[in-house]
Amino acid sequence: MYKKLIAGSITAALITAMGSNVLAHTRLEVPQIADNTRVTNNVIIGHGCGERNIIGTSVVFPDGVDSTITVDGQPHTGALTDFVDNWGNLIKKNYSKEVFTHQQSKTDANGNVLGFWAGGGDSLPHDMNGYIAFRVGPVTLKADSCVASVKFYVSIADICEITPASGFNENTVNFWTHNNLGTPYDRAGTTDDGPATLTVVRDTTVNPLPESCGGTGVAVEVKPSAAQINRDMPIKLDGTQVWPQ
Amino acid sequence: MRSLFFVTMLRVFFSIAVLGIAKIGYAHDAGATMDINGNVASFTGFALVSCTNTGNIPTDHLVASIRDTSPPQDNLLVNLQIIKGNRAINTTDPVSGDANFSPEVQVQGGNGSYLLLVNKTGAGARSFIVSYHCMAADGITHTDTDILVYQFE
Repeated sequence: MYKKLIAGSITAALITAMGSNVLAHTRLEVPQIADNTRVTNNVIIGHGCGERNIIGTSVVFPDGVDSTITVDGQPHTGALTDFVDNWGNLIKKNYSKEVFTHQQSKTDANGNVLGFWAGGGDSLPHDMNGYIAFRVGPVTLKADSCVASVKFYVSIADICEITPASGFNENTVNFWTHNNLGTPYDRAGTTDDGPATLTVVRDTTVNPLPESCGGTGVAVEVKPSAAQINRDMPIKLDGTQVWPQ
Repeated sequence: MRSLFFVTMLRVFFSIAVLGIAKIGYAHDAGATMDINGNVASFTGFALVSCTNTGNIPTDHLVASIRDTSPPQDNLLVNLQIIKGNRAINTTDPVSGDANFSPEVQVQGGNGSYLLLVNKTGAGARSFIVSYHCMAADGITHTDTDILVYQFE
């Protein structure tokens, strides 16, 4: 009987350990939406920092102002407005205390929302999912352009302990961010697979491609600048930074 | 310990945040103060209002008005303009500081992006509220309305 219990415990521990090797990245529940459509969505936090709970999360969408834009993988030197009429202020946090007790929008100098944070309360157990609700307003892809889709890379930090940037490590924060921007918030790793994505796909029945596009449009991708991440990733309350510190 | 500190910090700031939120009006009314130092006669607020379907019901027009909530000052009034495609319109709040908005104006441009501007007739700080609504052809159904502020200076 005693041996069976030990064997059972070891098996459970092994399953847990194996499970932690395939932990899910933090991603959006609905990663692909049609243009001109309002969609309720969630950031899904899949795990803590090892066995440490998540106490807050910071979510930043590229602002499209100084973002890096590619078209079919090639750099685009023009503006995002070449492809999207109304990007900016289309993200709105849904108020909820289901996971964290406090939350606020992140805004630019004109008050446009480009992300949000949530934190406080009992913390999210490291072995449970946390759904952080928000809504995406209708993204209008430019009718007279050849854009078929726009993928926005969403940078997320899941925080397990408040530290200064010098204290960032696998025990204090999970970064779902780019690995190559040169910011303190960069994800460690050789593959740039950190950020979540939100892809807006052109509904060609409602918003058909111009004939000149030849039937197949172009795929646009938008990544945040280092300056934006440095500005917008910290959590601030009325101008006072509470993370990192 | 740090987690507790985070929660405490949030609690300290929570009451302040509530005060800030109290300034915000209901959906599709937006308020602010133009030219807070009172020396920019050319002050202009410039925004993009996106009008889209509500369900299967498309937008027919954008309707908007403006209300000057500052005390009256001679020769200082606030204006609002809507522009879409080759159509544009203006409205002015003729009496500052009262409870009334300017006459409502509208541009019939269907779904899409409307340019919305606010400005004033001279230098001087002016607090104001803008009411803006994308509407269906029946003039009753409120279609989806979003705003992106490009400029406020």
